[in-house]
Amino acid sequence: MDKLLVVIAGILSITAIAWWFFGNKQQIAIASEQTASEQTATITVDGGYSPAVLSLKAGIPAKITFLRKDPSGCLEEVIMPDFGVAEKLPVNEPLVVTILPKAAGEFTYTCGMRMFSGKIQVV
Amino acid sequence: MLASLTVKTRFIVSLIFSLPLLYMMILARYFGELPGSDYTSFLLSTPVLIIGGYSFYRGAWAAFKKRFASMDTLIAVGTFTAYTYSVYALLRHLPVYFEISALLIVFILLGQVFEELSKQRASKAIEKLAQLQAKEATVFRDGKEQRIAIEDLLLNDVIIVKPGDKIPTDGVIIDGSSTVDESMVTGESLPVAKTVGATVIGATINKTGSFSFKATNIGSETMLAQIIELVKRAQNSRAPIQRLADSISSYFVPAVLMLAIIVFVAWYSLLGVGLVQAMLYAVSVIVIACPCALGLAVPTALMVGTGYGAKLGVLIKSGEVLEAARKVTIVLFDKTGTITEGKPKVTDIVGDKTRSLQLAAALEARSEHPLASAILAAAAAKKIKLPKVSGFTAIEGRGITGSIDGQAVLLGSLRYFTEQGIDTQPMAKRIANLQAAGKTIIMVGANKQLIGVIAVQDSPKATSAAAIKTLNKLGYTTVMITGDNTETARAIAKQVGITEVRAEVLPAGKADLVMEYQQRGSVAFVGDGINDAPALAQADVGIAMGSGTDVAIEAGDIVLVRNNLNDVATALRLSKKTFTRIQLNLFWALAYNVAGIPIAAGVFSSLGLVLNPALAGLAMAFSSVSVVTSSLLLARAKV
Repeated sequence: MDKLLVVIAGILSITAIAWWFFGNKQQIAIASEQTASEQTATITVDGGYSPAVLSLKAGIPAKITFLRKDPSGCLEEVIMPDFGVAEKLPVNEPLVVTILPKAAGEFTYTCGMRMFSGKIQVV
Repeated sequence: MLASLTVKTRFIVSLIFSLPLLYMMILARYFGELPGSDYTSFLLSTPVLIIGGYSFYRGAWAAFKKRFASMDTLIAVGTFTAYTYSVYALLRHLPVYFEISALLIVFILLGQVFEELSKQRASKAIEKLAQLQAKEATVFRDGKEQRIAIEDLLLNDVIIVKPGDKIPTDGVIIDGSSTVDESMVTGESLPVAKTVGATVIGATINKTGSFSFKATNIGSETMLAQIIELVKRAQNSRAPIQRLADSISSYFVPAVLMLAIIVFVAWYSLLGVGLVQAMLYAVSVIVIACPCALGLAVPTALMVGTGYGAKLGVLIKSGEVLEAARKVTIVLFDKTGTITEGKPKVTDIVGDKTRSLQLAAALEARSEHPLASAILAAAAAKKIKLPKVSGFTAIEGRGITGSIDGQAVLLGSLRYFTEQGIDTQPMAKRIANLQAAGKTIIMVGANKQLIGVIAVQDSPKATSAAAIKTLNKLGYTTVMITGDNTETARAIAKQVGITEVRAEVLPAGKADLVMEYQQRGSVAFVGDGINDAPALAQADVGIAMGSGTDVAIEAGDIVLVRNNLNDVATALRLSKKTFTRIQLNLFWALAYNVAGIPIAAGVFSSLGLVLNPALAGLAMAFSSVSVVTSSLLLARAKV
């Protein structure tokens, strides 16, 4: 009997894992705060990047503040290959990265091992 | 407070608490149990999980809330399962497995400590470059010499350099002369002689002489600063076949969790082993499957490869270049300044010598043509006075015209003169001889009459023939492209060992020619960074040559800092080797998981091949270290 229960529990757990991790994740683009000469945004680093999608305006320098709350080594580094950024993020200390989004498009950035990723939408 | 502990501290604290556990696991059966046995295990392993495991649990939970799973997830699930079961077992007086959860954390932290050390070594290239920078400079200000910090340097400051000094920034010598060791920036091993008018590069070392120079670039504009920026960008660029690793990693961790459940259910419900053994198999699977090695495979190789290149004076600009360079089969060379010195000299003048040189020099004084300086130098050497020119017009790739003393003067190629209907027959034989000798001829005409021919020669660089030979030997098709006429081009090509020549190509036609060759295969174009920008951009791999401060860092996919053609082969070989290393790393990282998971799952248990979770942790930790080591070995490769 307990063996059957284990089989059922196993199937349920697998279904739950598939649903939770592979299911549709809502990703709403959050816009930066803009002035004529610069735009600013804060990305919280905690189990990933929030907002997961950041929307920036092309042609205006963007100051992005990364605030890493997660001590996990996985998120220690942030790499934005399209903007030539590679920075180590201190825990609980904001770090400002300035980039110039030149052209419209979608740009992915990741952690040092490319396990976590976030997106920058340039419009 | 826990969040701020370094990996090393967490490792040391965890190790101290785990040593008695290790004793209990291995030596207790020979030397006797520690007092309190299972309760001691509980008391020792709990701080390891809290202090050593904090960041894994914190990270795994934060990621879970965002519906992500990472390596932390696997470590957290693996250790937490073993620990909670052991607490349950302790209360029910069953065998406990506290040491497994604690040692697992110790081994993974040990792996991370090693990984950090090797990653630091891999990223040394940038640090070494940055350390080259001089800290202070002696400037001549307010009528006296002053010692100032490098940050306080201003553009056009006059800087004094004494023997043995490090040159503080880029500039042009205005007084004195010396030899300079530029090896640290350009990779050029021989000291370079410098005198008034020569450019000097910041961070290079003055040898014996003294000189003063005017600062032309400071701060982030210097060549060293630009190289550092470029290497930094390249090291963190998107690497080839990264997509494979990226797409795997997002599915990998949840898939491993599902697999662990299947392993547990299969062993417990179908194969009938006990609960504890089934759990140990499942935990081993979770632990051994950590894709750390996979995540490190690409970035570390890229970091070492591009860093090593920078040391050799070969700046590879991105990871994508590596993939493109691997496929290259045809190498196109621009002739002037790439295969040749780019410093042509007037060797012969046929016809009215003085008048020809005078008219040619007068027109060329307004021109930006590469041959202009040769003609002007010849005129200056003969102290010829230059008449005034009006109505100057340049016809790209053909010639120039203007009015001098009321005469319509024109200067240009044989083709241009023929197109203009000017009779060149009287000098045809002399022209043919000069061309056969590899000389470039410039026709000089006045009022639709040929009055003379100036022959200019630009000799191949000393290294060109050897460089082409190496490339031919490596199986590349080498082709020379030039705006010169066919005879001149062939003569130079013959001297350096190139058989395929495309001559009389207009500057705008170079990119089209690259496109034509792309029909036959993947093309690398080697040219001057400033004039050949369209061809460099069109080619699959654009290789820009430069020397000293003339390096056009922006041009091309690969920049050769030394003006040495041998570096083309070095660049292509290094790109190939780095790419191969990335593939090898990915292969091993994947093969490791493919082989390790079945063993951990107990598939070979009937053969006695099993892994307990702690050993699986150790194996996992060292797979990461081995991948990083493999990348580090790239810096020892011969290129």
